[in-house]
Amino acid sequence: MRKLFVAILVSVSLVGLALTQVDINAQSGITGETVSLTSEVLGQDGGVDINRAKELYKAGQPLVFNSNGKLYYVLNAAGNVDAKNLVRNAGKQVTIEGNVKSSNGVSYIIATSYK
Amino acid sequence: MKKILLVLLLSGLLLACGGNENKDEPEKSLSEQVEDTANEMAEDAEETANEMAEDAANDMAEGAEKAVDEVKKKVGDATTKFTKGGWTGKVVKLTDAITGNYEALNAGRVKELVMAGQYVGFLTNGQFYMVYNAAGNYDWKNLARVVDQELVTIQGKVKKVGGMSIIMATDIGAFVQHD
Repeated sequence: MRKLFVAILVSVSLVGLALTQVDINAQSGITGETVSLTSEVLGQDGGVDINRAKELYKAGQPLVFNSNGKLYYVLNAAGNVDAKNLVRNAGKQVTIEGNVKSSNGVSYIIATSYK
Repeated sequence: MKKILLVLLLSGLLLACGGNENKDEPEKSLSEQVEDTANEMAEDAEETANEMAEDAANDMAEGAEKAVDEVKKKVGDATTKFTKGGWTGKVVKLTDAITGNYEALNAGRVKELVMAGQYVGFLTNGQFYMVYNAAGNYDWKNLARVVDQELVTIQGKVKKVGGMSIIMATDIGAFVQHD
């Protein structure tokens, strides 16, 4: 009986530990949405759905990531602007995991995953 | 912090419930053991809750500070600067401004990059700007026109949008040295 009780306690603690770890990982991501930089520059709502994002991408119009009013360029691991994934994830709130950096006045995210 | 606390809690629980029984002391009944363990867990939970409350308070204070900064930034954004002389710099690829390795660009390459979703802008005084025309369109075409110039001068207004630096250009041309 006692062993069972200990086993339950250990299991509960381990589950708690695992959940905490998941929470910490989630906090490392940035949540927001794909926006049209041009619309943001014009003071309009920059939010775009996937079709509009495709149109803008094909027209060479910049797409960026808006998280709580702050805009980020998003790069992939190869160091290129990750416009394709911004298009794929347009029209919904998405969490980008990766590293946020700044250089020459440019704030950017090197994305490792989109959720 | 939470992780460390949980590891400590787990270790404490394992030790508390471990097999190192003292034979000299009378063995406690199961209900007493459960009560003791429950008390320990309650104490630990209280401690963890206090830590979490403290962390939450710190987070809230940090959030409030950020909100104040945000408001200040927005107020700052409302005022755009106008320059008569303009800015002198170079047309560069966004990712080159980040890495510091600058590719030699020409008009064809600029078009190719922009159509592939890679942005080209203007670097001056160590600051990268996306360039828009007066109509509010991304003005990569005029950047492509002057990309082969050693130095380029842009006139217009500078503004910050969501932390990004933007030039609303009224004129883009090759830098001309005035004596």
